[in-house]
Amino acid sequence: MNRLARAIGACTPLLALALAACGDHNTDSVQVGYRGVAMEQNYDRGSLKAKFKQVKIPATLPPAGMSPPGPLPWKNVQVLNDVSVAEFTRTMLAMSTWVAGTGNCAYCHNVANFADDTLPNGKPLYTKLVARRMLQMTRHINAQYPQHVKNTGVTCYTCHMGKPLPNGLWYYTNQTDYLRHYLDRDGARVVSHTVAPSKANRSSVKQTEWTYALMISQSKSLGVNCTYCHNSRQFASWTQAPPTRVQAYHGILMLRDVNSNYLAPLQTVFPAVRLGSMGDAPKAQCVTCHNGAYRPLYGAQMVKDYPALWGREEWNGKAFPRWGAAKDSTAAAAPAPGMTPAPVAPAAAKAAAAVSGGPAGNDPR
Amino acid sequence: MAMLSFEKKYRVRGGTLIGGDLFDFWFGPFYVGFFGVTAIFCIVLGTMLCVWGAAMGPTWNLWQISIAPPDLKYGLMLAPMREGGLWQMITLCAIGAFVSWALRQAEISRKLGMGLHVPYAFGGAILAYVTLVVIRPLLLGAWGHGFPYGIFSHLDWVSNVGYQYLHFHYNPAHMIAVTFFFTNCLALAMHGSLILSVTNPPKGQPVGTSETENVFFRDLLGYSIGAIGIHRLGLFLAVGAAVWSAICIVISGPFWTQGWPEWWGWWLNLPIWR
Amino acid sequence: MLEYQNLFTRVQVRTVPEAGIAIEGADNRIGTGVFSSLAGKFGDAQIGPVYLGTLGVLSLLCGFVAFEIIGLNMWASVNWSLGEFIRQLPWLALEPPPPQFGLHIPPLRQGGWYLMAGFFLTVSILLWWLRTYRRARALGMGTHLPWAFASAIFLYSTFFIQPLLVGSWSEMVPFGLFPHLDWTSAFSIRYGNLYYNPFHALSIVFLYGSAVLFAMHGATILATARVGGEREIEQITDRGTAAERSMLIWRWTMGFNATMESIHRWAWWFAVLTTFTGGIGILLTGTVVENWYLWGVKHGLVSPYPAANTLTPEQQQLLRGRYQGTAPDSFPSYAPKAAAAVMDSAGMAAMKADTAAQSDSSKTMTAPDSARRTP
Repeated sequence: MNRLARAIGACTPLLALALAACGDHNTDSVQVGYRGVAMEQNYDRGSLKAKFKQVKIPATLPPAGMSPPGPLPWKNVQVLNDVSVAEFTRTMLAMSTWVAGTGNCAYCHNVANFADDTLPNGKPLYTKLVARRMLQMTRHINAQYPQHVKNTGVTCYTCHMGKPLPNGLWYYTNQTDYLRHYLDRDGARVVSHTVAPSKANRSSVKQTEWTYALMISQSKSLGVNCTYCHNSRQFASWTQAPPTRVQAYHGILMLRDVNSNYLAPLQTVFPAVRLGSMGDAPKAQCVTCHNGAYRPLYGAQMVKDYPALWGREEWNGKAFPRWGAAKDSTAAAAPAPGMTPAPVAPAAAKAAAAVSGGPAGNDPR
Repeated sequence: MAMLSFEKKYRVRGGTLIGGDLFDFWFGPFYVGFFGVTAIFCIVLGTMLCVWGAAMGPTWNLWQISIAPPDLKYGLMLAPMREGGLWQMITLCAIGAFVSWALRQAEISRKLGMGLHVPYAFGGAILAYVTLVVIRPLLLGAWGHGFPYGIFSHLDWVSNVGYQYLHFHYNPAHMIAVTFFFTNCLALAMHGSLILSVTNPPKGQPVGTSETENVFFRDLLGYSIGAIGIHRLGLFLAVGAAVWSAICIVISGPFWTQGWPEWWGWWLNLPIWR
Repeated sequence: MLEYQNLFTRVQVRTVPEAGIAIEGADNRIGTGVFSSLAGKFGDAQIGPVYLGTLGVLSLLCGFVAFEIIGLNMWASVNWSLGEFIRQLPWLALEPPPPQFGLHIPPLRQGGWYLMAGFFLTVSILLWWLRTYRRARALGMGTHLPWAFASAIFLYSTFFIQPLLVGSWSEMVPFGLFPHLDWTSAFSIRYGNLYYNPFHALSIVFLYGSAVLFAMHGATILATARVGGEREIEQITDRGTAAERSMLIWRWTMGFNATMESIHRWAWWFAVLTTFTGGIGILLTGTVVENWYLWGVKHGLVSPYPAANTLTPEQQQLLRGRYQGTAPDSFPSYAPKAAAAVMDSAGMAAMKADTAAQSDSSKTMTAPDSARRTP
């Protein structure tokens, strides 16, 4: 073999190596921990761009205009009866876009009588019953879990993404046993706190695989890897873990709340076609909101424009427009932007509320 | 002068790649050569930089000393000494030392009229190191992707890089490399055992021959790879382990960013299964 | 560099296949040996004859039984679909008994087959060990190979003894390509990061050291093949220039050297200690130490990094969470609360009352409480 051929043969793989890792297939890395610890996120630039493009946020409706004063003039409004008429109708229109198709009021309503919870033939409008419960759920999430949803919050669109059925719903099967951590199993810890064996931790290797499967599903739901929340040299350690771990912890508490109190009980409302093989209602997991992104909708803030879904008294400095309040209320001094009010919170959330973490402290989310 | 009984006749001039007769001498049992000089320089400088790095750190505990690479934000630039620049200098010294060592082995092999297999084999290991601290960081765009120099801290790096891909055992090149490592261990045990068992028979038995070697493995396994074959196999397995390790890490990051279990989707979703 | 590097054989010499040294059970040798040119390019060209005595046949039989138990159970797990069997083969497993059985013998379908397969595999391996011992003895050789094999069997046995000591079959390694890798990760996670187990570290030292050694030794022999380096036995009993050059390349490189015999002792010990120290590491895990990282902290192995998160001890305590396993069996099956029922008007009325109560409670919780605001 002559020298030239051999030189080309030697260089080509190197060239291919160099070229392939270029351009739109470049890998971008985001460092999470101390240098040299290898806690980082890796993104393929081209595919991240493509995924970002696929997220389409519906245009925000114009803000509510003037409304007749007084409470809503309609019967059977059970949840959204604290906003004005204009705000109410605006929210309903937005919901149709977010879930069923713009203007498709018939998906939830008996269009002959909007107040009815049944169709003209007497069958229950399960979609309306479910939607009502979900409105309560949305307010509950935004109100009770600021440590997770921060200032971005959730709307119907966060999960539904314009469709009646969100992605990532789960039903119970023995393949998805680990997802019960988001429902009725709250023990996932498998690493001991002590050097010597103790009776406190009787977890088996099989149960560890359960926790590992749960963690992998979380990682894939957020499009991140284990080091986003952990330093793998000691998964159990909180001080060595990035602040995201605390946020994820609140997310799990939120999911358990949502599934146990809002979604699983809807089993009696859904028709059989919407239930799983064991007759259980569809439930949510991380991917239902996150859809493979580290923040749902890549952090797009939607709920700030829809006060009916806030569940809070104010958002980003704007006061909640309760019907009956003067339009230009200066009564309550609005907190500075970026500070989320701290509502009554469960004990663990309170304890962790003091955690700011280094880089996230100034984050205006 | 620390020479073996038969050594003197082998101490001839020649075989050097660079420098001719200038450095063609021995220091005790060590051959010097041009690359011996560069090696010593790199080794001493690198070691002193390591000691300096330890002095800058919080501990002198040998297990805990760690000299970390720069933050990713420095990209491919030279970082300040206290912020990872020291790591970069030590890496340069290491590469210099390893390459000098290999070239010195080449000079010694030439002097002894031997083939160059030893420096080439060592080159495989150097390739693995350079892949970890130069090639992969280059492809990822930052020197900070290298591993820290510390006994247990480098294991923290290994663990975290593994979990960046959710379950690194599913990396197919890693599977191949592990297979090479374990098979190499098996083959080494078998070869070491064979030679020792033939030359150290039970009391009263004569030392065996190459025929004994072959018959033992033919009886046991149906095949004996032979005296030259086992050394070819051993070299292949050992260098293969190093090379596939380098491959498995260079594809993780520059060419694949998701979890490695997901890579196997190509097999699970082949059209033939429908 | 256009010289021949002795990596592949260019000229193969053929006569007749070697029948082998005469031994007592020579009738048990099967075949006369055939030649393969392909094999001859790399190693010896002769394939066969093989000795198959009682021990060998029994060992292969037991091994075959184990293989069939494992394979058929895997096939059963995909409902006997051949396509799915091939498709999912790397993921399929024969799993050990679940935790609730402790050390009792479980039903066949829930780990009984696993224990049976393990039993036959173990018997097969032990019979094979005996075979290696008998073959060495029959040829008047030392027993170095059987004792090296014993070290590997020791490691294999620890995967049985450790679950025994910890009190549950469920800790054993599943049969299956990917599942046994899942076990490896889970085992390390469960016991607090096995990288900090000093015997794990030692075992890796010897594993990588074995690679270094075989690269060195293989390369050295190939480099001296031109003067007969591969004839190691002759070089040991009657040192020739190949052994001398081999010694000198290393003496001049690193200041010391082995001999043609002692390099094989280095080799033997590195390979044997890989499995031996590994086995000790497994035995100590879960029995003496349950979190190797914390053990490392205790013994000063852990490098300090700046904390990534600031939590008070009280917060850490609150965030702790429950252990999965507080008893060996904490895996009850999920049962949905009530069967789906058609909503009649009574049910709907009850539903309305429920939601009304809920919306009241959520309203009262939204008032900001400045006293609790985060600092």
